[in-house]
Amino acid sequence: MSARSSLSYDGIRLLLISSFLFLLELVCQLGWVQSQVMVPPTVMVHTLWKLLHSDAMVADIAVTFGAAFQALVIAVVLGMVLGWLMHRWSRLRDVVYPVMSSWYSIPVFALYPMLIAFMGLNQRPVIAIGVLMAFAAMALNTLRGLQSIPTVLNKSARIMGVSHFSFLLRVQLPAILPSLMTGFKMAATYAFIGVIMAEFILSPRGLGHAISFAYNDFDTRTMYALMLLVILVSASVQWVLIQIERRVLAHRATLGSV
Amino acid sequence: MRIYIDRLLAVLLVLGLWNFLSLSYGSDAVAAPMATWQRLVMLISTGFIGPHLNFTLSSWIVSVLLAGVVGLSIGLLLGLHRASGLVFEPLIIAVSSLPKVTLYPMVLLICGLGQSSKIAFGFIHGVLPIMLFTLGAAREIPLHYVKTARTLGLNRVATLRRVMLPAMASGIVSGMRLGASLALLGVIIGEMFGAQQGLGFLLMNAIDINDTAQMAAVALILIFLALALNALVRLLIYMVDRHALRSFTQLFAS
Repeated sequence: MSARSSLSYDGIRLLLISSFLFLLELVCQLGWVQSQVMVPPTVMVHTLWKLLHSDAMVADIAVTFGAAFQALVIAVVLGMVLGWLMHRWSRLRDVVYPVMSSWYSIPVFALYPMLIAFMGLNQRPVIAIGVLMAFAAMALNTLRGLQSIPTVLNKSARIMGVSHFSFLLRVQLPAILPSLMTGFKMAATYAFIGVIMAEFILSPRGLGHAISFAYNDFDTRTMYALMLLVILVSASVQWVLIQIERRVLAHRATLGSV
Repeated sequence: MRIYIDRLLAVLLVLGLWNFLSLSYGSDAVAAPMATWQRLVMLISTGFIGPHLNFTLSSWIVSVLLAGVVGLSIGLLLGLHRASGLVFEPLIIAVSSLPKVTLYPMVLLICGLGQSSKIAFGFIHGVLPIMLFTLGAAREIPLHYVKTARTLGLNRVATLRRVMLPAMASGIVSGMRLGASLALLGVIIGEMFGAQQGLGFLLMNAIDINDTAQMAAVALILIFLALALNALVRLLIYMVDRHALRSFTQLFAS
């Protein structure tokens, strides 16, 4: 029953999106908005199709994805280590936790110019901004997971004489998997946002740079085509992450029931 | 006591690291903490920062108010009407996970280069979390609250004001806090492009003329401003929350 109703909600959503696109198309084609302000969706798709055939654009896209991926990996590792350290060492937690919990409000991109100044105008400061945007969510969720492990797990592991390392790997890690997944999802979103933003502000390459270049060049078609690309990519990344989460958690549930 | 010593040590560590970076890369790359401090004092004491701060704060306040009104009302409607909530929630989540800076050129084209584009961009950042949190809070109101209110003979408006809103208070509060912070980020990012005023403009200007002391000083101001506003919003919300909780308990105690 729930599958059917969720299917119909998907249908309504699809209908809404397509009628919105149709309206946009209509408004643009009728000339109610100027072509410098908005271009019809069909033109966006057509321009995007052409752009995807140019090597320069594909290279830009690859640069952005490479940077976002590296930022994500670094942020996840850094966040997990920091979260674990905060869990183990309450003095560190007392100092760092307040900063982490209001980290989202800190404009980290304000540090971007300084990062460029000492890392150079290349991909490294871009990746650094992605890491800075993403690591706090990972650290907070790791800590949250570790703090909420039931004491009974810790105690029974100790009674069974589990070694330190295998306690970390076989008790703590599976127990905090849902929290890690939440953190990972947030970190992936933030890393992507950070990388695109850094490229948009100042960078010689990448998708963000291409959009800002098109804007400054009054190339509205390219600009909207690239925005469409970012929207599509962002939505599909979200979708993939939700699927991964579902898989991971389903796997965990079967393990737990054994 | 020890926690204050630890915090002091952490601040000293950051300052030391910063100074080390500045010494090893030169002041053309990273301004030293002392130079930044002097520039900060100069920016404030000459009153140079005043109009820029004013511009940023006024854009922020307007965008938070707009985002609050729109986000709360749409979130409430979507939360109370289950089907539309289920249809729209994934769409709102998808939009809020977008790198919104890529949409900024569109905002500039529609709203022009003036202050309205900064307000609009702050609004876009702020409204989505408020909407999502309100939606979630409205959906999770226990059914028996509403039923009890009906049994007690409360009309719709009174139910909304006396039961539902207080029951949703903590969700709304989290949404407003996040929304207010993100709106500030949106306003600052907006000022970095196509602006003649504001803290974001000052930062971008410092990048253009490679004035590292100004970059560091403005970055510091931005970070402190964000933390101070976050604390202020937290305080406001704490007061409102306590008030809401009181009226709520009063109602059910009577």
